[in-house]
Amino acid sequence: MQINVQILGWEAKGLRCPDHQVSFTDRASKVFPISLLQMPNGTGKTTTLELLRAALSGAAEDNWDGDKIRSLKKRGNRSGRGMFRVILSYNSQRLTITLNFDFEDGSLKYATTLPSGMRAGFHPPRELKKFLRPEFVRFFVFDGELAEQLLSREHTDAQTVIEDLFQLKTFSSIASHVGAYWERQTDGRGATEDRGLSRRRNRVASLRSRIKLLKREQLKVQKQFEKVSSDLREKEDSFRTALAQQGEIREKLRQAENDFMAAKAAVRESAQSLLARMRSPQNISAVFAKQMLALKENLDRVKLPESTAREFFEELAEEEACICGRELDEATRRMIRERASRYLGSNDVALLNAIKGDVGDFVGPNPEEHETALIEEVNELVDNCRIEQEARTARDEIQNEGIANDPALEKVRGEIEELQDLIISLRGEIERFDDPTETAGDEDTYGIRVLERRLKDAENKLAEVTHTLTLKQKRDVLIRLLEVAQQKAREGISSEISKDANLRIAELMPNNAIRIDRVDRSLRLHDQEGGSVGETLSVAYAFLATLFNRTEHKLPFIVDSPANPIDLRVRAKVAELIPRLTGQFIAFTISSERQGFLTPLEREAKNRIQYITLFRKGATDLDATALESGQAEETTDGLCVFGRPFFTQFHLDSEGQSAV
Amino acid sequence: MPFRLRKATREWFKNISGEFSLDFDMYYLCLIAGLATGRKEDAPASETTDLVTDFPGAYREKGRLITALFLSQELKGLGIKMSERQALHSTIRGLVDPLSSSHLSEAGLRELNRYSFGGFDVLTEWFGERPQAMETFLPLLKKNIDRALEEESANIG
Repeated sequence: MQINVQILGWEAKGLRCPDHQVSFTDRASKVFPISLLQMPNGTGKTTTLELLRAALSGAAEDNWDGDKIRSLKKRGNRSGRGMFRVILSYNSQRLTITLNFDFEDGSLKYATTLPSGMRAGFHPPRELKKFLRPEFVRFFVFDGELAEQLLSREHTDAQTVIEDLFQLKTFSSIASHVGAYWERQTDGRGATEDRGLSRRRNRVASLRSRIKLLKREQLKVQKQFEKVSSDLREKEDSFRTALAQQGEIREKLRQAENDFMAAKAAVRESAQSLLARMRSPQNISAVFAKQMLALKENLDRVKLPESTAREFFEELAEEEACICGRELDEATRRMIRERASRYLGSNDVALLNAIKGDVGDFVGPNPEEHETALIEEVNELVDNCRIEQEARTARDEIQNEGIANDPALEKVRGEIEELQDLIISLRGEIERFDDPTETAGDEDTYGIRVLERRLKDAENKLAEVTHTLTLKQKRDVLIRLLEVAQQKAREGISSEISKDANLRIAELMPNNAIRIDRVDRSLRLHDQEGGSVGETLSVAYAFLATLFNRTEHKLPFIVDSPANPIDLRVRAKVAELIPRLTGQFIAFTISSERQGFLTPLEREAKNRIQYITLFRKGATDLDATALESGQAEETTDGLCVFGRPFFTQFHLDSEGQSAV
Repeated sequence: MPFRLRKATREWFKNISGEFSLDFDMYYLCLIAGLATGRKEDAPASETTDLVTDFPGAYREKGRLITALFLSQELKGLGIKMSERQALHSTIRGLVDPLSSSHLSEAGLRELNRYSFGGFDVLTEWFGERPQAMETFLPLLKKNIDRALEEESANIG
């Protein structure tokens, strides 16, 4: 049976975002395929997304501490309470998840309501459990950061989402049961005649526990790394947003950022071009070019390869008479056969001629010119690196100017630097688990693979004395089969998903050759490492939409700023794709995103779009216009206006600007 | 027989390997360092990994040039003069195999792999630490290759 999950609406009270209640259904209670929720920056868009993720995943109860919870309190909230509620439908049943905040205690409690009634805690129905988990929710409540991570080799998100969705971990779970069975068998054996038995058992046990410990640590550090990376991006975003709010430097900073990004791209391009040139050895050094040319010329001089191939003499030795007419006796034939081996065969001749031909063609008469061209590229790269450094300095200076205007930013910058240092140190810790050093003892070895090899040896030795070798061999075969099965399942599913996603990408960007080649930890692109922001986003949309819109299940797709990071040309293409991505698409937008996005989206969606504008009350003119529209819902601090006319007339990208 | 890469090579290049379109790039850069210094090393099979059996991607049309450079370095290393026709002939015959997709015989590819294994040691000596960025690595690599080739020619001279 297909599982179809939809978001019917949500409600927030007493929290940092304006109080609001939104419903994504029409008068006939049908869910709009596309809902656009326009919120200026600073209105609590990030808070709302965070609350939505927390409500859908059940993650906040254990992971949010008192400070975190209190940070979500609305300024001036006197009740000391807050609430966020999301209402879902799945296969025509309703599921409501409520987060109740107590800001005085710094605590929160979940409540889950199903048709059977309300229960305290987070208790989604069994069939939704695999979707409503922290690791999974972030894939369908999506932001640009995840798009980058899907294509980054440092993150395993693409593989994880496939493994989670298709429950590939079942294979490893069976394998661990098989392993446990063998362990029970060896534990039960009491081959006391072998004095080495307990020593061998102890070695196996200590290696197992060390591997377990290191894997646990590895997971912990990996998670910490991901958390710190995400915190860093968040801090950098808020730093940039705060700087951009200083009107006088906003434009200067934007220009400086663009210059820096362009300089960075130029460096990358010239490094790639240099690498491509270095792939031909004659370009690297005139010495190499001369060496190759000398080989060719010397072979020519000594007439190698010969114009006559070995086969000629071998055939001659079979004849009655030599080509000069002299009759050949057995001794002469033997001599001809023997000497024939000094000649190259015709295939060898052809290869040597081809090598000489290539040297002639590629190196040519002037062996030094290739290195000269390469040196020019090296110089160009060095120049581009200098320009990049200058652009970075220019940008930093403008940032410093902004920091001087707002000293609070100095603290944020310090925090960013601390996080950057932490990332470097965590990266070092992660690398330690891949250390291939074999020389240290078990307790000082951190390379998990090294320890696993040692464990295998130790288990073999233990199996010998416990007479469970045959059983161990069976266990090894079974575990290997399970590993291969998991690998094949992963490859098969990944290949099918990549194929389907590529069809979507082709549709999205018909003139762009970017394609997913395979899923190997991250999404690996065909013949290229990364793409532009627009390409990355489009590839990520196509990949996730392929995963979430399948015969077995349909999930909603909630996206923060779907068009913001992409240029106008690509915006239209992304907009045209959205109606085909999934059954329900909810996008948080800002007013400047509409350009180049809204018209193609409306055309493609055949106007089945819901328009919502949510902003904080306070700007008298704007509030009055909203209320006059007749479609506004007013709360203590917010106005939520439904309908296209207000949505399209609204021009406020961030709070504090004046609305036009 | 395939081209083989020392496992430690991947680890060493990990900060910039994202910029390589082929794993063979790592093999090739080690090979060039090995050929420039004439350094060959053995590596146990357990410490190496198979790459490909033929020159892949962008290297396909450069394969015979790489073979030419390898042959000339090998002849130099063996002290065979270009005028020694017979020795030249039999050495080349032992190293190439026209029917192999790499153009090299098993013995030839074994020696080429040894240059790449040795070249990896050369790179670690030149750079000390893992390269952090392609844009700084390549110019420095070029400088080191030049210096090695200069020293080599000074030694011969």
